[in-house]
Amino acid sequence: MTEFSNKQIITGNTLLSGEAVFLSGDDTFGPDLFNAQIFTDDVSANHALSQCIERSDEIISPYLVSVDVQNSVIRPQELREQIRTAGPSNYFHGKQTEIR
Amino acid sequence: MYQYTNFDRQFIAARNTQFRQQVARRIDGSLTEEEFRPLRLMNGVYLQLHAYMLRVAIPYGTLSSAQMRQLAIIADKWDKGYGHFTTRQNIQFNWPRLIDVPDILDALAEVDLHAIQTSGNTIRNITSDHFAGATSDEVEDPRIISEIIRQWSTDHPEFQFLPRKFKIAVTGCATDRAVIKAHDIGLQATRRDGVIGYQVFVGGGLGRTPVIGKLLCDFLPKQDLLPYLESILSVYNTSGRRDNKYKARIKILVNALGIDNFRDQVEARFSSIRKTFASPDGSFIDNITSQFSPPDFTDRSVSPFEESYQTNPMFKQWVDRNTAQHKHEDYRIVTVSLKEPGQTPGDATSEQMQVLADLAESFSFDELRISHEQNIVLPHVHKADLPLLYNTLKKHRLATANIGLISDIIACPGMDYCSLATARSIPVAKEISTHFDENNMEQDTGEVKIKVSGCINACGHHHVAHIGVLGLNRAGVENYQITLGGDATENTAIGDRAGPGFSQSEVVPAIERILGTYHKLRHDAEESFINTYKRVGITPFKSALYPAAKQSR
Amino acid sequence: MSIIVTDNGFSIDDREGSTCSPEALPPSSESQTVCLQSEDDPSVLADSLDRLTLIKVNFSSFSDGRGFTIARQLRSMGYKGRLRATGYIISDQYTMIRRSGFCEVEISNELAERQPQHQWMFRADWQQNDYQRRLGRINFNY
Ligand code: HEM
Ligand code: SF4
Repeated sequence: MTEFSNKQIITGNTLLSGEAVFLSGDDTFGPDLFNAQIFTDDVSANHALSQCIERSDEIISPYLVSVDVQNSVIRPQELREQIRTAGPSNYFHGKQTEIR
Repeated sequence: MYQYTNFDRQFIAARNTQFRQQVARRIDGSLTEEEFRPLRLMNGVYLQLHAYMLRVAIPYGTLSSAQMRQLAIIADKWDKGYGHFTTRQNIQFNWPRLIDVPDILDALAEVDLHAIQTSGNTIRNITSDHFAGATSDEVEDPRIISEIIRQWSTDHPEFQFLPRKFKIAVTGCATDRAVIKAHDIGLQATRRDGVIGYQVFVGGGLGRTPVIGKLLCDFLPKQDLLPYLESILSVYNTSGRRDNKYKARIKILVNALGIDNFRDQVEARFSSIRKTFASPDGSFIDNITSQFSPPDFTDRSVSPFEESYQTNPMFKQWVDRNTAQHKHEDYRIVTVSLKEPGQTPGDATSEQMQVLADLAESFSFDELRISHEQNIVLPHVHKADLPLLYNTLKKHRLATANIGLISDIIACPGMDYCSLATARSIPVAKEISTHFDENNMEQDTGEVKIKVSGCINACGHHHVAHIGVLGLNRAGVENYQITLGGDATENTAIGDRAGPGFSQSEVVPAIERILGTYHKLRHDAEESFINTYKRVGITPFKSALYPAAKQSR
Repeated sequence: MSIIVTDNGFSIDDREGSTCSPEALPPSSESQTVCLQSEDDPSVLADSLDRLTLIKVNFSSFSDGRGFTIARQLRSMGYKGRLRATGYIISDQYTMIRRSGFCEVEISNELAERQPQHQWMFRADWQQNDYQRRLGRINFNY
């Protein structure tokens, strides 16, 4: 049985390129999911999100994503976010091509 | 086809300069994101799941070879080597960067293309019959008024911030290949006492509330077209709902007022708006009209065609399936399928675009069309050229002989690209096409229109499919609801919901049961799926789809 | 204090006195200024157009385009006086504003700072590149 999880990360798209990016612990946005900062309670997650909304000169449409973390691998819970972090399923395009 | 004037070119150039500045002003803070968003949308730039998307207009579906080549070049230079042709006769590029968009727009302008009003709460790209100017039963080439409406609606000062998007479709004949009654306004050319005018339908649409357009005016004289359209938009702009975006389309207003009341309002406004139009400059309209005059068809022997047709069964099958009668008996209208089984419906690689451009230049008077069924049409091909055309298409995997068949599926981008999706569409379309192709069931089943949407917005036209598939999210899992009996022709009908949805792996078996039922019930191979359905109704299909439910009741 | 934008650039609002809603318009009096909201029907002013010297049409948001049609309706009803767009309008809409029949826009100081005069002037060539006019749609320029 999976443990009840309340883990969340923050994602958005960069203004200039549109690329999907994630907020990391050093307060920058980057393309790598594995660097994403994990929030374990709603209060701090929402607080961080409201700060990201202020950063509209850099990031557009930021939002919270619920994730599972196993062996420090982050995996979004919803299919939509899984596709977003991997790339489309019809072509080998997007993030899946860059996974190192 | 319409040749841009200096006016058109100057307009686009000015508009592109404005957009370049808007991007810069967004970056320097002169524009907030809330302000910039509608401005980028009215220039065709969306934000999707992975990246921005640029939607380029292909007005009424007509493209020249040079334009198609430029699309291929853009796909290579700024995207990932392909483009997605949509049900709205647009092409979408899925991976552009915002900072590159001004350059892409300039590249489009080099060939008289643009992305203006392909999104936003404004009058969108005008769509039309992809057989326009080639089909025999036409009252008038619908592209003439489509072009006039394109010009009238472009940057119209009153209608850039409507309550919601607004779609206009035009057909030049009684046969409807443009699904006009699923549009906010549908126009059909018609003749009365020898004079050409238009039937006007209003308030059609798909989305979460599918509605078939209602007859607003039985005969609109040509000279009243623009003031009348302006009156409809004027009423909509002031009275359409703005408090709830799901109730903001004109169909909701028309239903709330009732068509007669709505008509009264339009006519009241028409009586004053008509006076704000000077009588149109005849030579201006004549000039547009003359640009759509038919090409110079040649008289040549069709014997190379006859020979291949008799001897090559694959060629014959392709001709029978993918070509349609042309108004000139020595010519055919060729539909090039972008639906090779297992591929993404509507996608074309840059190489395929280049090949199609070359073929259009050699064999179709330099013209291509994009159909709302996400295929490409070469409108005027001499029969003698068909064998060579076919062989070239085949080399580039463009000769799939499946137009109108099971695998000729319309599919929206769905959750693989679209941020509004509740489920994927593309994998489902691929599975269906691959499965029935391998089963060899297609040719014997004949015409069946399958259309897949990845959410209730219905971009994949599932409501008007013979078999519609709507992807939903049930407790975090993709679930597909099936509708039956929709019709996208002049007998427009919204499909009936068959019952509870299916998981992704159950979709193909479900469609197999539907088609099995059709094979059992049809009088003979001449009775198509939709006609059989109309005769027997939904019940036998329901019991085939839900056998257990039937027993337990 | 707010800023008025015309084809000549920014200026300070020169209007003194009060503005009323169409319902509050006294039955007959000397010249008056009236302000319409997006939901108002301009035809209520049909009988008073002659004595109005300024009609304002308020935009509660730049993304609500009703005011453009209201201006057009006032012009086609024969109003030839001053017509001003007020509220939330951005410089990118200046062309639409002018072509719909407005003479001027009233903007807040905050917006004037964020979108300074040159950004509005960039759109002052609104008589250029006008598809509708080519098709016979008359512009009412006062
Ligand atoms: C970024 C991707 C897209 C987004 C965000 C999007 C959004 C929407 C929305 C919200 C609606 C519902 C409108 C309403 O009911 O008021 C809609 C309808 C529609 N869209 Fe899309 N769409 C997208 C892609 C496409 C594509 C790829 C096509 C063509 C294949 C398309 C064609 C249509 C059509 C035909 C309709 C239904 C007709 C109607 O407006 O009632 N859309 N779209
Ligand atoms: S139907 Fe839904 S999923 Fe498909 S493109 Fe439209 S909005 Fe996206």
